[in-house]
Amino acid sequence: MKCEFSKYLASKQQDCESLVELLQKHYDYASILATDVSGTSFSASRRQKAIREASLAERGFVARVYKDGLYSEYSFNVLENVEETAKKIIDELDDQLEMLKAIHVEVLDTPKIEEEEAKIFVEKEVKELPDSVSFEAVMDKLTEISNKGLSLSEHLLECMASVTMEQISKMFISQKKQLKQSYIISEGLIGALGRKGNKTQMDYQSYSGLKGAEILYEMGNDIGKVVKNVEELLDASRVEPGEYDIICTPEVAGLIAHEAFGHGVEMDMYVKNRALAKEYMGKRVASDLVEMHDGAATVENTSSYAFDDEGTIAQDTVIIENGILKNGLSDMLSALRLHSKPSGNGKRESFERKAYARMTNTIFMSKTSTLEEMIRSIKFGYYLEGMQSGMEDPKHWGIQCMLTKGREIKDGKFTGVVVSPIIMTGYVPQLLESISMVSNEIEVFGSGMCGKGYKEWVKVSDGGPYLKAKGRLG
Amino acid sequence: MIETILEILKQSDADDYKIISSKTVSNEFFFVQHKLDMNRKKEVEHIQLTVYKKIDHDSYLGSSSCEIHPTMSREEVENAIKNLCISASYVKNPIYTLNGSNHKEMAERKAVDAKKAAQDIIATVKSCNESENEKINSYEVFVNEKEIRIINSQGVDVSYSNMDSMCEIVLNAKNETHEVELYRNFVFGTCDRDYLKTEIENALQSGKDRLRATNTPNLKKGTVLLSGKNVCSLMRYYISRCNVQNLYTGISDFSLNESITKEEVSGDKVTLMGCASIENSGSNAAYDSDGHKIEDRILIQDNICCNYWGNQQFSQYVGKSEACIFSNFKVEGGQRSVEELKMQPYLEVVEFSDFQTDPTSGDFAGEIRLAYYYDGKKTTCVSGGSISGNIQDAQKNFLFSKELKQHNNMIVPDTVCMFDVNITGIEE
Repeated sequence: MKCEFSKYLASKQQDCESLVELLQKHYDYASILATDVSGTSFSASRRQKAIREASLAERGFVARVYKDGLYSEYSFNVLENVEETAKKIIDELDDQLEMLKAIHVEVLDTPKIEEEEAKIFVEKEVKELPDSVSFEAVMDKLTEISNKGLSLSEHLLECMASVTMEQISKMFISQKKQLKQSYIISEGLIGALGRKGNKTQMDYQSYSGLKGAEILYEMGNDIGKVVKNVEELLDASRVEPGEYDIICTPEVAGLIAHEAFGHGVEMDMYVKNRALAKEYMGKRVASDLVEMHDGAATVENTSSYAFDDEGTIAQDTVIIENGILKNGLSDMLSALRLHSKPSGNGKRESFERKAYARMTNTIFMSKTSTLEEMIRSIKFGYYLEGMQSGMEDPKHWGIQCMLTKGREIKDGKFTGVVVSPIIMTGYVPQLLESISMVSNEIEVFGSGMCGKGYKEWVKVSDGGPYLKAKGRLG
Repeated sequence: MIETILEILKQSDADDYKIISSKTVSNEFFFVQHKLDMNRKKEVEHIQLTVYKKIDHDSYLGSSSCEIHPTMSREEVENAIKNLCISASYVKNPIYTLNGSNHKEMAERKAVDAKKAAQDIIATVKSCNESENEKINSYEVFVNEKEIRIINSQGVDVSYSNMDSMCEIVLNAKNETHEVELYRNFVFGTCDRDYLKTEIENALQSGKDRLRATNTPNLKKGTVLLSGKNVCSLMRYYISRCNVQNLYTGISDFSLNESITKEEVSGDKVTLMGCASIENSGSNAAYDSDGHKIEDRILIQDNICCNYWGNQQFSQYVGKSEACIFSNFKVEGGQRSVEELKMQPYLEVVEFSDFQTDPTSGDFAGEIRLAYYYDGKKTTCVSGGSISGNIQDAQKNFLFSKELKQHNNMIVPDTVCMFDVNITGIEE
């Protein structure tokens, strides 16, 4: 089933083209990104139900203009009188520049965008459109999952199931480009909250993809596993801090990829000399077994699109190959300043925010080991699972990952001991160079959001195979 | 558009409704060192509509919400409201009532000059004392003016305006062999030039300290001092535990008029208050999103939970407090000064990669980027490794500094002392 392009944006295409034409009379470059995102989020638990608009929902425009070495932008969500809008944009931005002139601010001189002609119209397909399933059917399914979970353990206080389906339409108009795309992303979550004595713990299972209502059929089979995980967490002991042999599940591997050389190679950081990776291009940063990619065209998941928010066509970028750092991820303006090419990684949190170099789908590639071989090879270590959060340090290559738990392995076998929570910290090249086995299967996870520091939240996915490495755990 | 929405709602199947309209004008500036990377302006309006439906002979109240875009046609608005009425009828939540205070008021609007505020922030950053080895790498400035209006079907029609500003700044410090980076994010109402300049210059000094830091010793366990915004992260555990939604779902087990700890404590006790406003907070608002006028409320007094806070729906479910959603909070200080807290051996962590406190379990942890280790004789700058622990253990003998510090919408003790915290260093 086709995801139809937004009727509203289609009706505004002519206005956007006229606006670009008017702005080009005052500026040396002008473009408009128009977005129309709609969707619904459903959740059901024992104590509360909710249906609300999806968090990414928006409708608006951002104009980007260029003159005298400077890029400026104006975000707005009403486009009725094109002449008035053009005048407002020019007057407001000029007014800001007057204010800055008064305090002697200089401009970071940047080359002008030189575009090639491009015309794209993409409407992606899904198996089932979100509208094909009634509100009642969705809530019934989620309530069924929640009730089933609650019946499985006396320690559960709550069991929650949610699903969000979003239809995204974007249009990029400049003098030379006319790009339109429409696609649907969906994500689901099952979470369980348990209490034993004065200990309270939570665990979850997520689902995601470039898919529609079919995601509902994937959910529910894992509810037993989620409840069992919570019970294990309630009885878990603390890890003895130290360095260990570790096996990272694909979810944890994805977090490492994201924090290590995802954030580490966002090239707007190169412009600011904030990324150590800039000096390491072509050098070894990981073991021979490590290959890492990122791109909206790398895999199909929640950050897959035909073009980014600056009108650059999606790509598949090889970040690391055979342990050697090969390429970074770039937005348009960083590429201009670094005299390189944009990689289709210019993303905005919404039409209201600036575009930065951001990750899309970031994954380690698979190799040949099996999980069984990897477990057998561990004398004493932990199998790490459950991603909670991570933090990057592109300047110093520090990494911090908060993980849900570790399962103890001794002499190649699980002992049944579970430790939680786990904070894994370390120096990125040391961690990646310690990777000694990589499994032959990949999983990708797209239910999270990524921030730049503590703001600019965008959809990303990450993942990979199972990895064996050495990690510092606390 | 609001009049159109109200007109259509009158003819619809909605039993109740709430509309929150916000208009935002934003001035934004982005710098690489002190050169302008980009300037941005934003002018947007958002209208959030929630429709309520009574279900099963008023046993339940369903709700569903969506944004009504200012560009929607009448037909689009009619369809949106129709869909909300349908979807709300499948959201079976126990019955509750909307804020029925029949209150119509426009809070006094203070004159604000957002462009001047932005100009002041930029000028302040430019005026900071940098050197060849301690410099400003880059910064971003956001100044937002907002007008908020809340209307509901029970007669509430209130509005207010506010302004908030943010300055996100990255600093570098270097020596002959090494360069370090520090990140700071300042949020406030309008620019307090002295405060901002002092904080930035203190951060530059931290950078110098980080350069001479050695590896954090592997102490296993020890006394940890937290300061700065990390104290806010810790205190959000208590804020979260007093929230009615967390009480209702079982995440929190705080009971009114009972101690928040299971056993007696030997240190300082927690006194936490929700505040209507804090001077120069970027979160000051006259009304909450249910249209209640916000008034100060003590939530915890000397470790006794006195009151809860939160929205209309869950306040009614829990049934023990008046609804009010707070954005500003204050935690009282303790008996000892910061100087007194530093008289015994400690590890004072001033910079983390990301210090986190889990409001569900009470676990806290973070990787150390800069700490000061006092072994009883001398103080050393250290870096690397991590600390971790659980608030339920730490609160048995918390020590809070007498001195308080404001971080945007929170006033908290300047320093918190915790004993027997796990310290995973990297020194062998």
